[in-house]
Amino acid sequence: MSSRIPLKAGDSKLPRGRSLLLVLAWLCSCLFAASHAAAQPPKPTEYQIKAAFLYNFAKFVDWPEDSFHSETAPFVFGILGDDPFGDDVDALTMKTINSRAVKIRRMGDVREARACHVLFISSSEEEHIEQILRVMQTSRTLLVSDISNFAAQGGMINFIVKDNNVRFVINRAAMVKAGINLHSRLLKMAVMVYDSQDHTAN
Amino acid sequence: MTVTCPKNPRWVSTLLRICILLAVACSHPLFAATDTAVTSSSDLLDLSIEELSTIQITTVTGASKYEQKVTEAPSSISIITSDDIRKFGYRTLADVLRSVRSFYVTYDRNYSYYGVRGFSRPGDFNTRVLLLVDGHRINDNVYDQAPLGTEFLLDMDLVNRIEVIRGPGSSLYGSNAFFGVINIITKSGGAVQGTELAASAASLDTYAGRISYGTSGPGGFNMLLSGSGYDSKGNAHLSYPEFAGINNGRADHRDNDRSHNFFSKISYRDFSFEGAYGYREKGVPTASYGSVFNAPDNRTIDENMYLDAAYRHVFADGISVVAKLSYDEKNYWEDYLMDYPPPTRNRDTAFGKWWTAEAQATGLFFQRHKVSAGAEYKDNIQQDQSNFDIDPPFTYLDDRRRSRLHAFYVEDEYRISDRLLANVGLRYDHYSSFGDTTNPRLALIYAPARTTIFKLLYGTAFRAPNVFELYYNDGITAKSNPNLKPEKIKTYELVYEQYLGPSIRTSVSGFSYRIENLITSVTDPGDGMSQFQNSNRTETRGIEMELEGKWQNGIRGRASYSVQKAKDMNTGEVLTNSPEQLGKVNIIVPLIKERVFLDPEYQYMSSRKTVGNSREGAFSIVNVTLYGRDMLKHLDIAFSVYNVFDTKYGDPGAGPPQHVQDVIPQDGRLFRIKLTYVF
Repeated sequence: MSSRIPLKAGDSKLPRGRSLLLVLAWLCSCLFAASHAAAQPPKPTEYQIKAAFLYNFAKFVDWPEDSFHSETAPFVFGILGDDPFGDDVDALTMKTINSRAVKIRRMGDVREARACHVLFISSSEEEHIEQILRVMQTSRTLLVSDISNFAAQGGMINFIVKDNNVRFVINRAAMVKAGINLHSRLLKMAVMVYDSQDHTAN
Repeated sequence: MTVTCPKNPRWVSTLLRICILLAVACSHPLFAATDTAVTSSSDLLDLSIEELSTIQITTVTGASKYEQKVTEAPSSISIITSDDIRKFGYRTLADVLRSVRSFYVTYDRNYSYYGVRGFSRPGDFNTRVLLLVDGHRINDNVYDQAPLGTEFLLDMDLVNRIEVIRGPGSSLYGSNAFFGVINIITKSGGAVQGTELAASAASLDTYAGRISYGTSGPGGFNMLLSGSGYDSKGNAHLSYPEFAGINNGRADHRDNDRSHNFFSKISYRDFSFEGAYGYREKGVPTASYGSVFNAPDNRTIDENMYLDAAYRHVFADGISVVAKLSYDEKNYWEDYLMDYPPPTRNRDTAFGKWWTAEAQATGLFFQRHKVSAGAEYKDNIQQDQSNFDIDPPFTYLDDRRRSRLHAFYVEDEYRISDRLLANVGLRYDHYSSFGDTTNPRLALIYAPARTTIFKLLYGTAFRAPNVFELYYNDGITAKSNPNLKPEKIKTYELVYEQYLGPSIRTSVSGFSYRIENLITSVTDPGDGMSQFQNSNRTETRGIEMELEGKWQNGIRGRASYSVQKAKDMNTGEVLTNSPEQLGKVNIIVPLIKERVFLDPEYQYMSSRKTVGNSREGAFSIVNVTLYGRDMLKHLDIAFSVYNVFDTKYGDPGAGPPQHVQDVIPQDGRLFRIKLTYVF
């Protein structure tokens, strides 16, 4: 019945004198580890990836010179409504697009948005989406959002999450209408492309 | 919430060692600057659009039946990915669970049994955690058993990720989701792309192989087919001093383990079909249930299979629906040589068959309410158990049952404000056997800052008595108890998650569990027969801490420590097989960038009380895997050493009649080499 198996607890014994040394070693190591820490959570977050996509979208669109006020005018990313990116989108300002500096603008009113080159419409604006699209109709701004059915409602690029990956749907008709030329590589990576405005969502 | 402050200096040094191991490894200058991994938002900007499309974001499906961000899930969750499984050389689900915060595993050389938060009842066949594969319930309809070892029907190579969700889940899943839910999501055919071969050789004459084929195409077409085989001779000699009178207490060549399984999954547009089959035969060297020690062919056979058809559709207004129909089978044979006398072969069997139909709809209402509602119907068309002698034939038990259940549930994820989320769920179950039960869950998730999350969780859960507990009656060792009621648990938990700087995630959680009517095997002193009774009231309280980090040099790791105390409230005594402390460390160290990784893991378990009222000492285990990707063209090589320091330890037995051994010694150092080739 009582079969006591001789057990060596792997490493349960530790001479007492070494404890202090270990504490010191641990503290030093922690400091060292902290100083080596990289600037990022264990896994990229959804909005870090979306920020990176925004940058890619900007690169794959032809921006004629008249899209900018002057030769030194910056490339402007706008975020309309509650900002879901936080600091993550600020990494964009270290980059250039068409050798222009990048600026991030956060705004609450769609009327300020017309000067942007790429506009991300936050899900907080879902209720006003029709009005926003109407206001933006005549500006040459690439409209991106993750509001569901954004592309079907006349938006241009609609983020979706599919199998845990961030993907996107493109409404090409809306882009053609706004005079925005898109690189075919983007179209190829889209999960779905709407070619005419009257297409309904699947 | 009171938690015992451990007085034992042992754990202090152990914890210290864990921290040092982690910190030293992560800061080691040798590994600095060997990095190409994506580590920051600015690195992400350098990725192509194609690469970005393949990055997995952290979401979880199990906690609320639909996809959800981990930080917003109404539970405390751990996620193990296919990458972890490869890099740490996990062979079975049991191996995975050993590495997960607050879980531990007991092995009796036949089945593996999990313990969670200090709770692992002797003789419990994993009935109190719900195991799901792609949302399909695996626990069977006779024993409620969740298979964790080689008896599990899924090859770990086919896993995309495993979500370990702590806390009660009955408000969504009904029975068995008592302490938690383990949700396994399998790989898609697109993730395999072509033919993949894997072969491994390991200590104890163990060989395994797998062939898989995966493909994907337009229209959401996706297919994965896979078959695996496993054969292990096991330990040539196992010593059990309890049987010193027979063959000097040595079981010779009685530890064999052989299994094979198949998996298939096809999806096209809104339809998907999935099927899985597993067969395992295991020699039982422990002379369980009074069988003759060292007799050949003392063995168990488990056969499990399921077929699942699902329809998923998202309507234009954002409402998504899922409808599922599935069929399951569980067959079990147990052969033992009994010496009545004369020596007679006895067979115990269980055959279960059941149909399940489920439907669920999810939609967003009034902008802020994500509501899902569902219904489930299950028809247990067969729940049969028998026990008989083969020659001369004599039947001790021939019990045939059929039962049904239906259930409705609703869940509302209410975004009260940007910072505050409430999750409210309720499920009603009706069993043809015992009647109704209703179980709620409430969760408040508050994020005062983007890097700080608090979760306040309350829930109840139940487990219906299974037919084994209700009706197993052989008239000799066990008698039935058709009056068993469901056991109930009530839980409170507070979780605090904090991102420290951008690279480190920490979490602390405190919990309190109270169980009523716990179904326990009790020996009747009058006739010496065992019977399941609603007897104990137990209470568990504990605190868990976890640290997860990723460093610029490509090193990543996690470390966790948990203290808990599980007490029987009737006797005031600590439960058996309940360690008060558990510690885990897992580290992935890139040696050659993106090619070769050295991945050590460390597991500590404090001492446990055994059924025989002695104590099984504390122990630590270290496993190491050296993993090389694309070593030759498309060839991955993994070399693993398990229990590197050959630590001698044992797991508590379940007590008589299942085990005469109070402690069952476990394996020492083992090796495995595994090759994976993609055509």
